[in-house]
Amino acid sequence: MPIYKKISNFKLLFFIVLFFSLFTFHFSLTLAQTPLQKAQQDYTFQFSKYRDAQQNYISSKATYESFKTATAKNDAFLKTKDYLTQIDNLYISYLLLVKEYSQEIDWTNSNDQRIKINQIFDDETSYLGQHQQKVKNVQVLEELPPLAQTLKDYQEKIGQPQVNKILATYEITRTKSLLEEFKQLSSTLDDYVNSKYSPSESSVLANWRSEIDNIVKSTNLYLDQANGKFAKIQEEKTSENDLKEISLLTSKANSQLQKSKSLFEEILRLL
Amino acid sequence: MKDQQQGLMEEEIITEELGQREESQQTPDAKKISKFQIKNLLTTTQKIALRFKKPKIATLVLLFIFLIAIYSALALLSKRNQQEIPSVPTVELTSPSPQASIDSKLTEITKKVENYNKKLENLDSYSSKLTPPIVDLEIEFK
Repeated sequence: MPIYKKISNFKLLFFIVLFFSLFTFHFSLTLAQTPLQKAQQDYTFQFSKYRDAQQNYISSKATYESFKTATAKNDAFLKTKDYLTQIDNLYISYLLLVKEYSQEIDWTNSNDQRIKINQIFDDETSYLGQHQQKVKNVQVLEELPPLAQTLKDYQEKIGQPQVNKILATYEITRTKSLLEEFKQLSSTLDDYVNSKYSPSESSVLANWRSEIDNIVKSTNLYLDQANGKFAKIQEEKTSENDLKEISLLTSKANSQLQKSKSLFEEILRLL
Repeated sequence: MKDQQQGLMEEEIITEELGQREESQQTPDAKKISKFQIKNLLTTTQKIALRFKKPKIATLVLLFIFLIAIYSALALLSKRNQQEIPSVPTVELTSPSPQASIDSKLTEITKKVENYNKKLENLDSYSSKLTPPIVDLEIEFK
């Protein structure tokens, strides 16, 4: 009997799965992800796990409430415990994602803010870790709802307002660094133009300079307003409305900075 | 003159054709060798696998050999691809005129402007990019 006939369907399937796993492993090595992509992927994964845990919790809760047996109670206890653990995991992965976004901001002139933010991240992560440990140590179902309530209160009063503060800091710091870069670039361009042309040579250049000044002024105006708002809430918790207001002001400042795109292109075409 | 040029061209064509013929004569041998080697490899692997009387062990051995072969082939392919990536030749233009140094400054500025413009393209607010997860923490049992 030839050997290929001895190979059953199951073994063939096993071989195919092995082949594909090898293939995907090879490509996963070649196509490496960035830390931000990893954090995004992890957050999505934790969220899908949270949805599954929630479904299990809901069904086990319904079974326990209708039958009231010890087995049903134990099942509800295990599923609720898993659900709460998964909520902590989801919050931790969200914090890591927020932290990863800080890498795309230039913190050169805002190092103090960065230190404060890192402290918030450490505090939040350690709180969630401790809460997760408490959930792990619980032995009966009755102890789980108070732990859920504690986490809910913490998130509403401390956790989310702290994240809002972090996001507000991101918005302001990004706009600040962009404005600084804009100033540096426009002055470099101005120096280059001065070295090439005499000041009275073209009125276009004079108008270009005045446009640059207008951008700086209007951006500074919105940025100052955002900074003022942020300074008021610096020691307090940042509410969702505060964050919205700061985001609106910084987005207005950013839209002013976006005008520079065409201005820079225009002057480069003239040179 | 024209006749001489035509003669030279003809010579070139003839030498090229001869070269191609030699190559085509060499390739079948190489193909034969590679085919022969593959056949040899297959028969040896078959022999190794058939040494085991139990079909389970034979299939496992075959699987193992296949895996090693596929993995090494993939590794070789990836190495070849890496080697085949053409390196962009860096041509350094050196000219003594002052105009060139000014132009290099301009290209530097242009690069900076391009980088800055890229940053301006991606300015979505963090509050919309990082909306917090909506979690149900109302846990209670009746």
